Amino acid sequence: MIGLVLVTHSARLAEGILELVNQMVQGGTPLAAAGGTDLPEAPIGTDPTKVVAAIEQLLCQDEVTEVLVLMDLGSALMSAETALDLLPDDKRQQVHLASAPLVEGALAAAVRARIGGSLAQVLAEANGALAAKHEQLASWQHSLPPLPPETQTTDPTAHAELTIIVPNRLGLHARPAARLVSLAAQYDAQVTLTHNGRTVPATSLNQVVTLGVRREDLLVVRATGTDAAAALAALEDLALDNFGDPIEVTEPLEIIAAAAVTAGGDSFAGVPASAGTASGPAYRLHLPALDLEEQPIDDPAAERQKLRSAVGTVIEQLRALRSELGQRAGAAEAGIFDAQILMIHDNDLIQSAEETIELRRIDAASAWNWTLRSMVARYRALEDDYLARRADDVADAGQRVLRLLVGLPAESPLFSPPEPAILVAAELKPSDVARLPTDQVLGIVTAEGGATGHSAILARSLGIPTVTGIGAAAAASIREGQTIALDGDNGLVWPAPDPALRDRLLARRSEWLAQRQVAQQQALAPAITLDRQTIQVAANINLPGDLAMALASGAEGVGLFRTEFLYMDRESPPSEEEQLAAYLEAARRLQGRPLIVRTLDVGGDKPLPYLRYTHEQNPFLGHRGLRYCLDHPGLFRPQLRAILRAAAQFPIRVMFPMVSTWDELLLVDALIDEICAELQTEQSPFDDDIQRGIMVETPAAVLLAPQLARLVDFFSIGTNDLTQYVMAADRGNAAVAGLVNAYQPAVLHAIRQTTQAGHAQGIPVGICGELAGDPRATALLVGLGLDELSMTATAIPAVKAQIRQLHTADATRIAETALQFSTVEEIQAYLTQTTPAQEKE
Amino acid sequence: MISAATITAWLHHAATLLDEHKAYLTDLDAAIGDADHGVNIARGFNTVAQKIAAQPSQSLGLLFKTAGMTLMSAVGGASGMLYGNFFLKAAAVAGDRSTLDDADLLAVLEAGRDGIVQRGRAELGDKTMIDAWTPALATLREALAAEQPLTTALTRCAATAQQAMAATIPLQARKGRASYLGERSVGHQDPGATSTYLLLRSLSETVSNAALSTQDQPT
Repeated sequence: MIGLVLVTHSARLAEGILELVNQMVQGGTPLAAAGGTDLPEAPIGTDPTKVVAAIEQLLCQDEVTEVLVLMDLGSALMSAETALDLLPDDKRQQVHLASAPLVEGALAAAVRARIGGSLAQVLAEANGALAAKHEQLASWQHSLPPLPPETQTTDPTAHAELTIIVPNRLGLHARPAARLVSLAAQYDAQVTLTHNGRTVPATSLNQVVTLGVRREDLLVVRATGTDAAAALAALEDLALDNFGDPIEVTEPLEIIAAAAVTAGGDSFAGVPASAGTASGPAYRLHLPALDLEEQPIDDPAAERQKLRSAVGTVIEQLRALRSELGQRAGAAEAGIFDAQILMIHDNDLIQSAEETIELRRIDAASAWNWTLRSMVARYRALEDDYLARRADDVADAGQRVLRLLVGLPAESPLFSPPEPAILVAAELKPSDVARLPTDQVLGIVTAEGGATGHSAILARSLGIPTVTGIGAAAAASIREGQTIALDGDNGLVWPAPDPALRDRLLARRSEWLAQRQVAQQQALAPAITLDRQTIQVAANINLPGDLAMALASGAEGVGLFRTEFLYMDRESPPSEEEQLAAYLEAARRLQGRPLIVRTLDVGGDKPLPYLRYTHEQNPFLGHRGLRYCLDHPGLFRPQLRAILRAAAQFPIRVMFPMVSTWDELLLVDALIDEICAELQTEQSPFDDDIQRGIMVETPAAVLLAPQLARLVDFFSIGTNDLTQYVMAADRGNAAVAGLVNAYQPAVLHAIRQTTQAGHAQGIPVGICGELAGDPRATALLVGLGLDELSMTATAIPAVKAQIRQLHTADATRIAETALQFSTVEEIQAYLTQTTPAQEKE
Repeated sequence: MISAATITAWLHHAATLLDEHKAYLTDLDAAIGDADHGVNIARGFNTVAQKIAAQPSQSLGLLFKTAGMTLMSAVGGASGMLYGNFFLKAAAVAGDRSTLDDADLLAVLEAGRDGIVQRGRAELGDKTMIDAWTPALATLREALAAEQPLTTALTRCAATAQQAMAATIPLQARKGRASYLGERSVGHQDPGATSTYLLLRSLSETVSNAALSTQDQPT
């Protein structure tokens, strides 16, 4: 249960509120007060030790799990914050400070706590406590004299607040935090985040990350300024979108607690960070230590300029590394450098270094070193292991600036052993791993670090067997050139492996290399059923940059390019030329594989800041997708022109979202004809017979599919929206979200009807919703006759493996049987039972 | 070298000096606050003086921690929390040490100042005690970097605090109770900046006295 602590300047006020609250909850909510001081001559005031005592009094009651602190004003806030400082770490985690109004908030919170609300619910109740009062008294407001004009002009800022429960499995780690910071910076508003009583600007990545926000923590976002409401709405969307993280985080979480334990006699135990075995000579990286001496200076402006330009140069270097790595290991890995760029391009960090230059009158390098060290220390102090590892990323980026400032080459001598070798290092920075000559590295051993550091993630994506965290003493005991062996599956390092062990590990290594090659080849090979039918497996992408990952996973084309991502995070829509460049880039990377571009799918449910929407009661049933675009030709035409022009050179098809009538397609055709005539006049090359398709995602399109199939060249079934519309249930509404299941028989019948209608007209039918990426649905979808499955890249290898175990006759039978059932439970149980188990890679 | 005895003497002297200026501080606070700064802060430091007289210690960390915790409970207002945090952060830097060299003293004072910033979230120009602390400690750092003797450096530091205190008069308050007054806070000297000056002045005077008495002793 949640307990409440009230902090007030007056003991009698505290008593009075307790009396009032207790009358409501009849002792059913644990309450304690810290009112006034113990000073007879100055009883009005606050005392943090009394706050600590009140908190501890509640926490020692068994039923109290967490404590919410409400307070009046001024020193009460400071007392509450100081009390948090004074509490031991474990207890501090259980205490949260609320900015809610004291009396109303205490009443509302106590009632909610009594009926067993979570902390988030209790806090939300407290924060909303003034609403009823506002509403009741609103009718009196008109009788008040208007505010004198000068008061109105002082600060007409909007103010808004939002409470988020962080959904991400790893909390607000570097990448989601970076997305939050970039988004917040786009608005003309002062946005702050409050977590466990600490408030930081939402525009400073370092401050946001060092809040140490973990999964299911409460984050209060406040915004003031003209765009406050828009900023909060955008941040709420980002939070609902899991802060842009994939829902299934693929980075392994495990920190092997047993890492510290030394294994039996002849080996060191570390953390298994990247699979595989290796044996060979050990070599180290030699990074010359930086010997810094503070230099007094007399021109602080010049030092500040030096600092700014060094930071700018390093950002350029990191960008270059990012694109280099993006080609070698994929966009997701390269995103690490985006976080590093934000970490050092952080106003808070730079300003604090500049202040140090001004106040201490020391040189830029020393000031930067000083500020950097305290920032690294703040990261290291975070209790969350994953977040604390980000200290390496800050230090790495910061060291680059430092080296530049003292005139050392930024690219330090790297790993250049005389023969392929095992790299032994104290710790490895992400930029070091990115620049490793992979053919020279048999494996990696580090003294520091865990399995979740960016370096470990990079090592895994490059396929280098790695053991981290064997400890400084163990790492130091390994001599340069000494033959060692490592087992990245079990986290073991042998400093003097005997020949028998080396042979065993070598055998496992060749087996592992062979398996890896097979897995890669299998992902890339076509998906052919046992009866030699080929099923097209394609990827859904948001931006051309996603293609590296998609192609590596075995995508045979793109079944859905969601172009709205080209329109996001900016002030105005992308120009025709920008779009053309994006479509050409995607097509070029696909090297002749097909690309389906879906036109802009926005509306009241997915707003863009620069587009106008009228408020809609029900945006999902509103002005969205093709409906919106047809009514806004100024927005739609540049996109169609760009697609038609790109299709002149590459196999590009166009697809329209949210179609529900025949007329809409006639309008689109007319618009395309008009644009073709225009392009003809301009003598721009274009595809005069572009393949056109529609997303089948409304019940209207399903029912009308036999007619619509005569107007288009292909169908693609968008099962996510189709399910919502067929089931008439909103997935955001918890009461009916259970209905939103693509295995519902009604949805499966809709898919069958659409597929049959398409095939009757001789056009291919694909599917691009989440259902396509679920291996349990593969037999069903193949059996229903779908020609193409398009899915998120990571799902491709598993779905291809499923297809290879299928016989189309069996698939047809499975689909027929599944559609006989009347309930979603029966269907899911049947499919689980008929899905062949995946062979282990 | 600053000894635990000198720090003890400083805290006693600060209590005396603040007590002597109690009425002055309260008058300043009456103009833009709630007329309690002088009485509160004097009571706080007097309690500190009593505590450390009753429990003398050679550990500077312990002395500062006692001062910090006492101020937090014995002042009652926001200034108690701010000065209290000053001494708690100072205690963390001082640790078990029984003496401080010049650089240590600077580090202790700067950490304390950072503690005040952390708790009060005031910035330069908000018309708060930070407007005295920041320039005063910058002067101290500069003077020590120029290898001036500690006594000279501290005298210059206190002088800067005094100027900075007077320089709060034209400012408009943006933090604390005075900020409720908006433009009407302009034209009044900030009581917090004033007590900061008195605290630094007492430090300077105590260290000078200690240096004189050492010189008097036959070597």
